[in-house]
Amino acid sequence: MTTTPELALDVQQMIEARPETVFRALTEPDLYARWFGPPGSAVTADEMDLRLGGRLGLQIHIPTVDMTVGIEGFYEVIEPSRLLVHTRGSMDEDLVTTVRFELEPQGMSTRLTVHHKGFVDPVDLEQNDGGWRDLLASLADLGRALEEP
Amino acid sequence: MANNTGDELDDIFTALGDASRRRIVARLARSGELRVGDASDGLELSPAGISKHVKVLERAGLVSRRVEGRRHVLRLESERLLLAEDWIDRYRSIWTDSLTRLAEVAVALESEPPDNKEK
Repeated sequence: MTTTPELALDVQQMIEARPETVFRALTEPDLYARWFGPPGSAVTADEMDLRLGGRLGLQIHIPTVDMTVGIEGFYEVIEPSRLLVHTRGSMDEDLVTTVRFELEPQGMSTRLTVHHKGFVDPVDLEQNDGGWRDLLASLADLGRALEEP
Repeated sequence: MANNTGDELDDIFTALGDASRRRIVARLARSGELRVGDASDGLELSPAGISKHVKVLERAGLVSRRVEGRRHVLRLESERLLLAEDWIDRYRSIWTDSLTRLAEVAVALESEPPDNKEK
């Protein structure tokens, strides 16, 4: 089962560099390996076949637990210096998610927005209308409250 | 994370991917424990349909059921929801860290001597 309801998170970052430069860091293997991954991990970008349907292959080595996680994805949207979308699946979690990088020029800087969402079943989509993460968060709060003596 | 944690999360997200099941979970979150009939009150479903949804929630570990005489009482297993919440938070924190480094990489690139004529 790889179909999950909509699961999304947004992270924004202002970068004092032009969108062209930021786009390079998102698409060149050597540069990508310098920033991507959990803290302390060593990332190798085996493949970044930057064309529609092209494959993205990463190895993330986490020294603290001596574990290597393979990640692969496929490019879905490529608009140089503006937009990059690829899927992302890892071997240890049976989920396929989608990562969207949106680059907006702000003077000589770039506002980068990462939108990372779970694979969406179209049947679930209309029922979720973006509110499910809020629901989950409030349920988790309620759950915590219920656990209190 | 171990393999089965990923599978467990799949079960949780699948279980929460249905409006009727979310309704049941939300009601249990408010009340803690409820009889099956009260938890599913207002849902336009047959008893068999409700039973199917409850089973999906049970399989995901979101809900437990105990039998008291003729009553089936459902209870929300809230730590399972926290597991899903932790998963999202973990990704958020990885992205935040990674993008901070990305900003450093991009700034360093721009300060390198230009090797092409672009702009």
